[in-house]
This record gives sequence, structure tokens and C-alpha cells, in this order.
Amino acid sequence: MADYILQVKGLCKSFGAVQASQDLSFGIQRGHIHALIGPNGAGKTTVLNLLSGELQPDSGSILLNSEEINKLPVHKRVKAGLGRSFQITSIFNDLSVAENMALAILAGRGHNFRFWKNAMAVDIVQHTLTEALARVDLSGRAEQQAGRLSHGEKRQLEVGMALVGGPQLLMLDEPMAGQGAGGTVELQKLISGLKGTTTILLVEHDMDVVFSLADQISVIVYGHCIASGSPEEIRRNSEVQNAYLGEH
Amino acid sequence: MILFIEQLLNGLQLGITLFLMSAGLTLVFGIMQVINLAHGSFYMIGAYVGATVTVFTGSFVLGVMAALAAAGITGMAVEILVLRQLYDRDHLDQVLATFGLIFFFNEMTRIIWGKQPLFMDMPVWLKGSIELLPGLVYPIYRLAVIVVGMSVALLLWYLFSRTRLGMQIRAGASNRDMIGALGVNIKLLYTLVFGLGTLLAGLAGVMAGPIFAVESGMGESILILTFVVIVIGGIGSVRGAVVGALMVGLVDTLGRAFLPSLFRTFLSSSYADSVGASLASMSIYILMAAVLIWKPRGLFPSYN
Amino acid sequence: MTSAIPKTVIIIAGALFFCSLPWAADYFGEQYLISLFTRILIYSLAAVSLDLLIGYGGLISLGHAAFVGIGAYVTAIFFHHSFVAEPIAGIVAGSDNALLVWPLAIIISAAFALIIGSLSLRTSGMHFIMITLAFAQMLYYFAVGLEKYGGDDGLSLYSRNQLVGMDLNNDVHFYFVCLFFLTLFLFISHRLVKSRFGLVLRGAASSSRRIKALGIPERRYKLVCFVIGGAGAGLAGALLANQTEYVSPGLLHWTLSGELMVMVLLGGLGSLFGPVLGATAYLLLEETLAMYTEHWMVYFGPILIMVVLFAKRGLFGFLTQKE
Ligand SMILES: Nc1ncnc2c1ncn2[C@@H]1O[C@H](COP(=O)(O)OP(=O)(O)OP(=O)(O)O)[C@@H](O)[C@H]1O
Ligand SMILES: [Mg+2]
Repeated sequence: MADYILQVKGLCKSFGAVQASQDLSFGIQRGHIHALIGPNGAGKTTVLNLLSGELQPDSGSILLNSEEINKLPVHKRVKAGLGRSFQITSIFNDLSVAENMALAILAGRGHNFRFWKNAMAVDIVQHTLTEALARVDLSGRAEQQAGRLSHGEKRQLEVGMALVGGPQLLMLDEPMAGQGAGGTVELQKLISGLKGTTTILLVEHDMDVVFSLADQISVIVYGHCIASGSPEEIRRNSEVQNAYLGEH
Repeated sequence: MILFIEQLLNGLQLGITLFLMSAGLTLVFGIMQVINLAHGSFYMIGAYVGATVTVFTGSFVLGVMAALAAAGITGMAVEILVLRQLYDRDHLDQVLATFGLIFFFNEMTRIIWGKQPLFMDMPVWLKGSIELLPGLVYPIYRLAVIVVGMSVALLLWYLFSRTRLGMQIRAGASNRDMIGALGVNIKLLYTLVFGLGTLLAGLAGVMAGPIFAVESGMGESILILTFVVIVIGGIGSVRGAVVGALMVGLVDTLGRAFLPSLFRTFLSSSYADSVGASLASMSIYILMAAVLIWKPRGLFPSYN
Repeated sequence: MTSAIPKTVIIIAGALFFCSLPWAADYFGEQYLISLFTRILIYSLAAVSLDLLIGYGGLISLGHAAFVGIGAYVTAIFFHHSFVAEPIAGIVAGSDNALLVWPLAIIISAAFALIIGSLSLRTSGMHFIMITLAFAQMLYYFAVGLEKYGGDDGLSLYSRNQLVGMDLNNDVHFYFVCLFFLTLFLFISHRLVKSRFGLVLRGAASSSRRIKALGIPERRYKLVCFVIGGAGAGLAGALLANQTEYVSPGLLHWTLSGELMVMVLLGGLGSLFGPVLGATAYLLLEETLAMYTEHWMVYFGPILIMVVLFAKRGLFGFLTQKE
């Protein structure tokens, strides 16, 4: 029996006439890097939004560690072990890089109704901030306003913030998009370094990256999951060839 | 019973005025995503220009026409000069800039027309009352307001559900990205929608002229009621504006008319009057809070 | 362009100016300056409390005057009942003791902020602006309906509150009391925005999506911010009632909310000391323009639009930033 960290059963979601998810079912095994691929507008981001709780499914269920999380709001799902990065970079543009990371560190440490002590002087921030920034190569940028980082650096920061909370399942929505070649290699290294410790759901268009990193791949086309399996199986799958990979 | 029907008609009349105010504004909110505090100014402009032209020409109809033109044209000018710069700004900038517009328009009317309120006469052919039911005598003018408002509502309904332009506007109000996709000249459409909104506000203003005093700042109290209507109805929804306006008009009017006497049945009379009156003036806000708890995005929320 | 002036220099200069003002006024024989600047201090306090909401919490409240008004009315009603020696609603004795009444004004304003905030924060964006405005207006009409306390005409206090060791009826004493509270509130706010709470708040204002994705239920933090802002405004209201020895529904009117917002923007959003500059500039400008023309608003409106469109950083930003 495989050990599934996340299972999705019969998930449906439509926006008016657009059926963005149609009866999706798949499972993600603990410790795997599970890639979600599909053409533009196939419904990949919608899946992440459904999993994270930003969207409510019309029907179907989502199980995290065998417990239903359908009803939980976004922040409770994070507490339950989900972390993510967004396709459209979403960091705190008005705060400094260090403050961004500090906030990510503090988020998972009880409540933040502490009104007097400087947040940056809190012990846990002092202890972990340097390392957390170094992990995503942003040590030299700590005092910079995050909104002024380059596109690639923003991406790194976002992934770093998602990582620092120690999620059980990390969902990354096209983390390589807009990265230069160097950035892609760096991120790829970072992600493969997480293999085994953090389960990752990776949405990515770069097929080289996907096939070199993923343990499992699910292919989504028009909201349907048309195939799910190991990279080898997916490569051989004729339906996938026709619907998707053939285009490239 | 007679009294009740009379108050019902009064409530309907207030509701219709509010509908004229909110129909345009809710579209401006919905399509352009701009919060416009100066909408009441066009109500005021309509009333002032209407009153002045009526006195000057002796014709109420000309007065109304002038009011519509003045409100519509000023509105389009304001859209081009100020609002257009605000579409990409955050709501705070929009609030402050349109707050500045209010300062300007209120003071401008004081400079032009002085501090004293104007009083606007009804036309002779709308003076007097008729007996609607045995014992129910109702002013003709107020009936006329109701009829005009309902006709405008029908006209708008036709515009929005039967014409191409209307559908584009509606599509834009419920889903902003749609408009660009339809290949419409957005700038022009925005100016037209804004002008239509201010024209309706001007109509509401000139029709209110003979009922209330025409004075500087008159737009603000109606503006806030309009906001309540839009919050209840849902931003960007004309249907919501209809329902919200009628609810607010009726609750406010009936509350003021009957709450004090309702309280008198179980409280001492002087106390009942003051509690009743206070509560009546708060009733629509309580209504709003109730709707909010039930449906935070209003009765007819749009997709945005 | 102009070289930047360090923030601390501006703040120290400001502090020196405000501290020495009563002596300067005395020296030049312009006693009215003391009461003008007392008003400036009080409005500054209200503007700083609004800056916490708008500049740090991203909460564009157009109903902040309501809390100023509540603070003022609490003060006035307690005074009135102690003056006529009749308990409030037949239960609570009135009082003119500042140490009792001012904390009450703060608490009651905060309580109202809690109720209004928890309803309004169910929404966001344009809805939030309109709803805060509507609730404030509701309280305005409520005040108008308070026949017992003067209704439309308002209520006079005849004298300022009693404060041990001080004579508040002495304008200089009162000036320094106001300066003290403004400084205190500025200091508290300064700590607040740098704290964990403040970091979460600023984060939520910057990206509500990311704050949720970090697992933080942002609404609670915003609500607490709204309450703290309401409390500050309540204190400003209590002081204002003392300064003018008079309260009226006008204190709750939305134009005051708008004016406070203008002060915040004029001084510099999210800078705490900025709103003090903003309130000073606004009230002095009003005072000066009003000397030349009674129609000063006709100039002020377009000035405001220009500031919004072209000078958004405000005075404080202008003074402290390069580029
Ligand atoms: N909030 C929304 N409202 C309406 N339609 C939406 C919404 N979100 C997504 N859609 C639609 O759902 C479909 C799937 O969108 P989704 O963003 O999930 O695709 P995707 O696979 O992530 O595409 P991409 O590779 O371009 O990121 C698209 O047709 C999109 O237009
Ligand atoms: Mg996507």
C-alpha cells in the first residue's frame, strides 16, 4: 500500500460555463515530487487553489493525511501542513526582504498578538533568518524592499517563504517561469535537495525540469486528468503524446 | 390603512429617487472599479440648474432638460479631467480626489447661488392632489415622480437587456476583463457610462427640488443612502440597485412613520417618541448590517 | 533634487517646536496660537490613529470621525450629568474627573470600534469604505436624535475636566496635556508597528493573499488594529470636547472623517509622524486661506486633487526621501 499524503476524489469546479476541474482524482505519495502538467488554461492553478482552500469545489473531496480538509479555511490548511507559492509572484512588496522572511518564520510560531517587542529581535527570527535567506541566495538583499527585487529574486524569496514554515506538502505553481537559466538551475537544485523530506506538488511547463525531477506526473487537459504515472509511463502514453507532448 | 398606503407611496417615491442615484453609481463602481464620493454633487447640480432655469424660463420641462444636460455634461467633463487619472489608482486616492471634488462643487454653488437655500416651485399642472382611493388624497407631483422614475427604470431595463451597448456594459460590470475582450472602445464607454450615471443623478436632483430645499451640500445625505443601497444590492448590479433602493426607501419611510407609535404601545410617550425616532433614523443601517451578516457582498454579488 | 533630511532630525525639530510653542506665543503676544496649536495636537492624535488603520492596516475607513465623536460625547454626557447632579439613565453618576472619564471615553470608543469593525471587516475594498461610512453616519443620526443632550444643537460643558495636579482650564496646562498624549500615542504606535503584531498587519495590507498562504487569519489582526485606532480617536474626542467645551453631532459627521483622511495623506501615509505634519499643514492652510476668502474650499478642493495625483508621498515623504 502506498502512503498517500494527499488524496483527491472526484473534484469538480466550474466558473460559469468554464469547467476548470472535471471529476479529478489522484493521489500524492509521501516524499515524492509530483508534477502537474498540461497546456495553458488546462486548470492546473485551479487545482492548487482548490487544494489550498482559496476556491471551494462544487463537489468532491480532498484528504490530507486521510483527513478531509474540504471545509477548512486557507489558514487552517496551512497549519495542517500545506504550503504554496503562486504563479503570479505574491510576496509582501512593501516590506523588506528580511521582514518578509521574518514574517514567514513567525507565522508558524503561535499567535502574533505581541505588541511591544520588535519583531526582528524575537529569538527565533534571530536564529533562523540568516540561514533561511541564505538557502534561497538572498543574504545580500536582506535590507532591500522586496518590491524592488528582480523578478527571479522575488521568485526565490517566495519559495523560501513557503519553505520556512516546514510544510508537509509544498505546492509550487510554475516556480521556474520567468527565471533566467541560472535561476532555473539554482531552483532545480533547491527542489531536488528537498526530495525525501518534503513532498512537492509541482506545476511546471519546462518539460526538462519536470522529467528530471518528478517521481510521478499527472496530466491535465481541459480540466480532465487524462493520465497519471511515472515519467516513463507518461512518456509512453499515447493519449498524452497526442493531447499534449506532441505539440512540443 | 389609508395612512399606511400613503406612507407606502412615500417610501416608493424615496426608493425611486435612490434608484436613480444608485443605478449609475453602481455601474461606475462595478465597471471602472472607482469609488466616487462626488456622485451627490451631480444631484445637487441637477437641482440648482433645474431650479434656476425653471424660474428664468417659467417652464419646468425646460428646467428638467437643462438639469439633465448640466449634470450629464459636467459628469463627462469630470470623468475626462479627473476620474480617468484615477482608474489605476488605489481606492484611497479615489476617495480623496473625489472628496476634493465635493469641496469644489459645494463651494462653487455657494459662490454662484449664495448661502440661502433656493426654493423651487412645482409647475402648475402638477400642483394639487388627487383622490386615489376613497379617503386617500395624494399629491400629483409625487405621483409624477414615481411614474417618471418607473419609466426610467423600464428604459434602463430595456437598455441593459435588449441592446448591444447595454449588454457590453453589463458584461463589464460583472466581469471587468470581458469588456476588453469584446473589442469595445473602453475610454468612450467609460465616459458614456459615467455621463449616464450623472445624468440620472441630475434627474433625481431636479425632481427632488420642489420637495426639498435646494442647498449646498444637499448631495451628501442622499449619497450616503445611495451607498447603503449599493452595499445591500451588491456592487455593479442594476437589479441589486432596484431591490436595494426599494428596500431602503420603504424601510426608512415606514420606520419614521410608524416606529414611534409602535413604541408608544409599550413605553411612556415622550420616551417612546425619542427612542422611536432615533431607531427610525438608524433603521436602514440596521438593515444594511443584517444583509451584510447574511451576504457580505450584497444581495446580487457580481464575479469581481 | 533636494537631499534627504534624516527622520530623526525632523522629529526632534518637531518636538522642539511643539514644546517651545507656548513660550513663543507668549513672547510674541499671540495667545490665540496656543489654542490653535492645541487643536492641531488633538487633530494630529486623531490623524495618527487613522494612519494606523490606513497606512499600516490597509483599512480605508471613511468613518473614523464616529470614534472621535463617541469619545467627545462620552466626556460631555458625563460632565453634563455631574453638572446637573443627576445619574446617567438613573444609574451611573456623572463625573468631571479626567482620570475616570477619559479612560471611559477610550474604552467606549474601542467597544464601538469592535462592533463596527467586526461587521465591516466581513468585507473589503470598496464595500469596506462604504460600510464604515454608513455606520458612522448612523451614529451621527443617533447623536442628532439625542434630544436629551441637545440633539442637533449639541451640548455645552461650561468647564474642562478636573485632573489632579493640573488646571486644565489653563490653556498652557491643557496644551501640554494634549502634547503628552500625542507623544505617548506616537510612541505606542511606533512600538506597535515594529512588533510582531505590526509586522503581520503590514504584511496583510501588502498582500492579503500571501498572509493567508502563511497560515495567518488576517481578519483578527485587522480588527485589533481597527479597535486600537478607534481607541486613539476616542481619546482625541475626549480632548476635543475639553478644548472647545462643547460637543455636537458635527463631530461624527463624515466630512470630519474625510478631513482626517486628507491630513494623513497630506502628511504621508504610514509614517506616524507624517500625519502630525499633515494635520498641522491642513489646519494652518485652512486658517490662512480662510483669512483671505470665505470660499477657501473652492481652492482647496483642486489642491487636494493635485496632491493626490502628483504628490502622494506627502510632506514627510517629501522631506525624508531622495529622488
Ligand atoms: N476565478 C476565475 N473566474 C473565472 N474563470 C476562471 C477563474 N480562474 C480560472 N478560470 C478559468 O479556468 C480555466 C483554468 O484556469 P487555470 O488558471 O487553472 O489554468 P492553468 O492550467 O493554471 O493555466 P496556465 O498554464 O496558463 O497557468 C481557464 O479557462 C480560466 O480562464
Ligand atoms: Mg496557472
